[in-house]
Amino acid sequence: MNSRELLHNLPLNSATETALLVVALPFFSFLLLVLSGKRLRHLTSRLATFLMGLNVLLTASVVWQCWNQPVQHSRLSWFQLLSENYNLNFTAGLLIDNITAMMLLVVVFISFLVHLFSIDYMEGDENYKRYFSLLGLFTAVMLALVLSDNLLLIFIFWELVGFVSYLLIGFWFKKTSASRAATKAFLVNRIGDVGFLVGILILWGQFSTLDLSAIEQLMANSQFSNGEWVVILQQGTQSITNTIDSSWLTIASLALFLGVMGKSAQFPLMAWLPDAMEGPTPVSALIHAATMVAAGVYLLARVFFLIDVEVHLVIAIVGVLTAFMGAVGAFTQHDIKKVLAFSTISQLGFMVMGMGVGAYSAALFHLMTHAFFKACLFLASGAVIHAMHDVLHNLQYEGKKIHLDAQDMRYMGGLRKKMPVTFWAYLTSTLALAGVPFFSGFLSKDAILTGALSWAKVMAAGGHWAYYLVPILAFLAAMMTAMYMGRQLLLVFFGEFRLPSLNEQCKNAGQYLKDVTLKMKVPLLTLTIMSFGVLYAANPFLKQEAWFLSAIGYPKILAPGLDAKTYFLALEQTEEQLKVLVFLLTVVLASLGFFWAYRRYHGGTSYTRNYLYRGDPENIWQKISHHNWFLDDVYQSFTRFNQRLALLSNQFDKRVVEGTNLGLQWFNGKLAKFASSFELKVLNGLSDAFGIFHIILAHFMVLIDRYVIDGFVSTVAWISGFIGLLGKSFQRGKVQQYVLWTFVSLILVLAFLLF
Amino acid sequence: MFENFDYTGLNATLENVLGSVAQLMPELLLATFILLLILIDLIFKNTPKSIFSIISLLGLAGVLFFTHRQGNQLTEATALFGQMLQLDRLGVILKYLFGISGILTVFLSWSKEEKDWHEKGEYFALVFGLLLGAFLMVMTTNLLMIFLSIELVSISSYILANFTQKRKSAEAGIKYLVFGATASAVMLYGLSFWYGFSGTLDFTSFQFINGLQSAPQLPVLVASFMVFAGLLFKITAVPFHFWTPDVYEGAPTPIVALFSVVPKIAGLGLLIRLLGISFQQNILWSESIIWRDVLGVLAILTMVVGNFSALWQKNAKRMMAYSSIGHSGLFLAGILAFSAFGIQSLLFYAFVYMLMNFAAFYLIEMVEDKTGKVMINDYQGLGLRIPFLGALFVLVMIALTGLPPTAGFTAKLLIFSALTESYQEVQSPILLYLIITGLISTVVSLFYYLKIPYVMFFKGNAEDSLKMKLNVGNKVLALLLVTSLLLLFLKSNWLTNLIDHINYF
Repeated sequence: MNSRELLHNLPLNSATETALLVVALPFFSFLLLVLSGKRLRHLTSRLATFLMGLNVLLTASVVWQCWNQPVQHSRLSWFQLLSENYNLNFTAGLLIDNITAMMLLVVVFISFLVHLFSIDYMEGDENYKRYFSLLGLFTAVMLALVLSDNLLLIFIFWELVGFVSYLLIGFWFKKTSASRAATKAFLVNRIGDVGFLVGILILWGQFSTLDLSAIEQLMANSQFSNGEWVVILQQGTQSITNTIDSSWLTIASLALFLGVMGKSAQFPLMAWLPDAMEGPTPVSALIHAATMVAAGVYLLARVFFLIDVEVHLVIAIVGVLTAFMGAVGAFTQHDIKKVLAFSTISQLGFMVMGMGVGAYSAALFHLMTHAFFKACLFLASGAVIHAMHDVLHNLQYEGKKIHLDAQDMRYMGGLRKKMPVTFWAYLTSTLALAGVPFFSGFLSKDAILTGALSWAKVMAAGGHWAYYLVPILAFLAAMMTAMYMGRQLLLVFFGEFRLPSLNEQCKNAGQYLKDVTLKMKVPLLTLTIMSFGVLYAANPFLKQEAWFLSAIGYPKILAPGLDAKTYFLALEQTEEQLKVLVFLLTVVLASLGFFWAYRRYHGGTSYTRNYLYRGDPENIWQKISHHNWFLDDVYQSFTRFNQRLALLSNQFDKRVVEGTNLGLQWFNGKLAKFASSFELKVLNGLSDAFGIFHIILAHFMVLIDRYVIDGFVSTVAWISGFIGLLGKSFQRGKVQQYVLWTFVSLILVLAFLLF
Repeated sequence: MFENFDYTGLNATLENVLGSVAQLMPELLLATFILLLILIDLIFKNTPKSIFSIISLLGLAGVLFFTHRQGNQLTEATALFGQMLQLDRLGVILKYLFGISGILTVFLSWSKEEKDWHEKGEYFALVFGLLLGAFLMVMTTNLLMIFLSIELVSISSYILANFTQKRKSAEAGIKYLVFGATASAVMLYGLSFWYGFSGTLDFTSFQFINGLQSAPQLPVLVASFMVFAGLLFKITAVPFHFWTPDVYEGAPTPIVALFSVVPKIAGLGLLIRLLGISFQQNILWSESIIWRDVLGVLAILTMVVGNFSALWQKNAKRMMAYSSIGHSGLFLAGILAFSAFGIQSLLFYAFVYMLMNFAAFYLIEMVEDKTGKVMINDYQGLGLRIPFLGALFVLVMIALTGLPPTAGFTAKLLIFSALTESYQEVQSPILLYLIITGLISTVVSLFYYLKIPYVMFFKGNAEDSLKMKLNVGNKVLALLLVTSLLLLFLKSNWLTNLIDHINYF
């Protein structure tokens, strides 16, 4: 495969040009907001929203041009490195296929709605403008990530979305918990990123390019024999053969998957996502539910063709574990957003598992439907929090001294009467999340579950029943979804409003409770509509009719050991047999889940009556759920173990070594005594004589200085003093200023060089 | 297709590496001692500082011995590790200088009170680390090695600057770190451009020279200046000098003495190598843009800012910081002579500068150690109370100014002669300006250098002065340093013989 053909420039066409504009627009919004004055805050937020609305139209035109079309790819040579025997060409470009188009639409559309929602939600925040500028920046880099055609660019934007996410989690950085959560998210993500980077380096070492389409072709032409992975690169007449052990493909796949685990909060790197809820709620909707956390799944889809076949199993297991553990975690939370955060983890687990079991298109489908209904849930919870916040604020305005958490579900209840729009949005998206027929989540989740079960059946054909554990756990998690979402829905929207009965001060809280403003209702209703199944399939019972699934189709598998054609054919045939069974199972499990939730959490149960005063979890199962399987404690005990070890060795040192030291000190003292007596006698006399000579010399010098030079120099001295003062005045003791001055002078010198 | 692995290449590489290791004894010894010092600190918790000092002295003596042997065996420049490093006269001479500086630092640290010291072994290990970085810096011919060695020096420096963990010291450390990281980033960016243009890391190779010559000129110039920026930071040239006074003021005095000599001279050595090669191969030298002008202007600015700002300083260490900036200007001027004589004078100057600076800082430290004072005004009457100390101060300050009868004079004379010679040859006006600025700043420096002896002898009286006593060890070391300054004035050929035959232009 000749490298020049592989990496030749591809000109821009109308679709990619528009896509470039789609990225540029939010970035422009970011710049505009950063540069504009503080007084224009109202105008700027509306302008940012307007630009994003414009972007929706642009994106729609891109998707219109690219959907179900041949891949649109524009690429240019970014820079070249001349190595000894190979011309390393770094390219940069845009690639739009169906997956990209879907992601574009999801990101831009949800970003627009979040912008709209935030206008009123963030009203009154002192950093209103910073908030909107960061939203713009996030949208720009996320879109760039989605459009990038090579791993280097993806990595760069991957880091950037992580960075903006860090800034937004820590948006209220004066709160200790917020800045801690931001740091935690940042650090945990670094672990994953190391993996991603290692994977990139291995691929680079083998292919000498990071362009995904080039890698795909090279991968298709590479050979695996005798446990070795051979890639032949050609440049002109030269050809280079890269040979390494084929286990490196496994390592590369695992490394890339580690990156996915970090970004998409997979077990065991999932502990950061619940904490990330410290950020503003619309941000949670955009970044930590719909788009950024799904970037991991997106990356997995992009590199799926080279993922080693053995690693598929790892992906499936990690995914289903995450789905299950996340669902368990959602059970006992009191914070309305934490429940949603755990459910996000769980749903991401479904997507990743879907990838692992070969339900590629189903996983991406779930990514899309999940993005809409989860964003809806988050925005609706934002509306609830906003309303609760208003209630508390009004009570405080009355002069009541209360400091309560507006996100705590224990103070909610019965909100459906006062907040009907929010309630209907919440209800619809909950049904979608739980996988109830007619709603979008049903189609995608059903597809994933069918895929998982048929995968287990195909794999277990050799007699390994253990494969069935994956779909079993997945079905359990699906049922639990209905259970914890039912619990949340009942606790928040049904029953009685609990806050007034908390104490005397909150008695008239009910009168302040009201639904949110129109600017917040519109996004909610839009997303509610997006949660209906008919939008995705003409017959909302039959996932086979979903236009999305057929548009994505089957992925390539270029890693050795599996023939993609027979594999997917087998899966498809099994799915055909199992589809009715899975349909029935899903419906029954979801209904069971909701039924259980109703029995336990409806208005009259003892749980609900005492919920206001419910404290920390009591039995071990509740604790496991509430503390998210004690993952944080496991992390901490790692650190603590190391500290203990250090302490222990320190004590060991002390005991054993003290004796030796005493001896050394004694010897040392003797030596010093001897040396000092020698010094005293011999050297003192010598130096005194020398000193006297020098005093005379010194006197002489100073006299000359004073009487001969002084008169002549006093004018010069004044001038020099002045210059010195000038130089000194740059020196104010602030290191930022030093750096600034250095850069200013650096640029001055460069300007001098250039002109 | 799969069987034709080429093992000869790998074998040759391995042999080259093994052969190179044998030629790298001083550096290996330094690395060994870093580990040794840390291990001793870890295993024997309460080892007194003097033990560490003695071990360090032994190690440094060994390093000097091996460097000496290296110098004797050296017939021509040898490439090590496949052109990662190059062993030649310039490197050996500078390694001598670093070794001696290391020994002096250990001596200076000797009298520091124990209570300020928590991690004694680490202190010495870090000094060794800094020295190792400097050793590699003056030997490297590889872009990556440039960065690595500079970072080795820098990172050791950041920690050392912050070593006593007092507030001032910590502030100094952080400032140094922030500024240094910025400079490193700029330089690394420039290096990456160089690599991009040429596709090789070996900056002595034909491919590198060819690559830079065939690349468009403008980006090459910009990239080159970025690389030089990193080095200018190390030699504290304007406009990369801002960190110097704050760091010198805050860091422990022996470390300041080390900072003012080793990283600076190492940076100069590297600059000589880089500029020398580019000058010979005519890479960065074109009709329209002359580096001599750019660097010359910076050198002039450095002399002006250093010397003139020093006039206003009241803190002796801060004054020395500006003084060392001033000296850097003259160092740069020495390089810009672009002649063998210029380099030789520069090396002579470097040796003398090392002695002067260590002497000056040692004297300042003696006062600081015993009384805690570093402000020049606190020295009132001290010269009358301890004439010995006063006399030493006078001599050192005279040497720093560059007046006879000290080696400081010889050094400046040599630099100015080299500049004049070059000026007569190429008639470049910038050289003339350099000479003039150098002379003027020498006159200016007289004022602030002699301020210390002036205050010591003519302000206040002996009774009210600081109460301190010198012990014999102090006296001997100070005397040795000052005597060497006088001796090198009288017998300058001792040193010049050593640095003969160095020719980079």
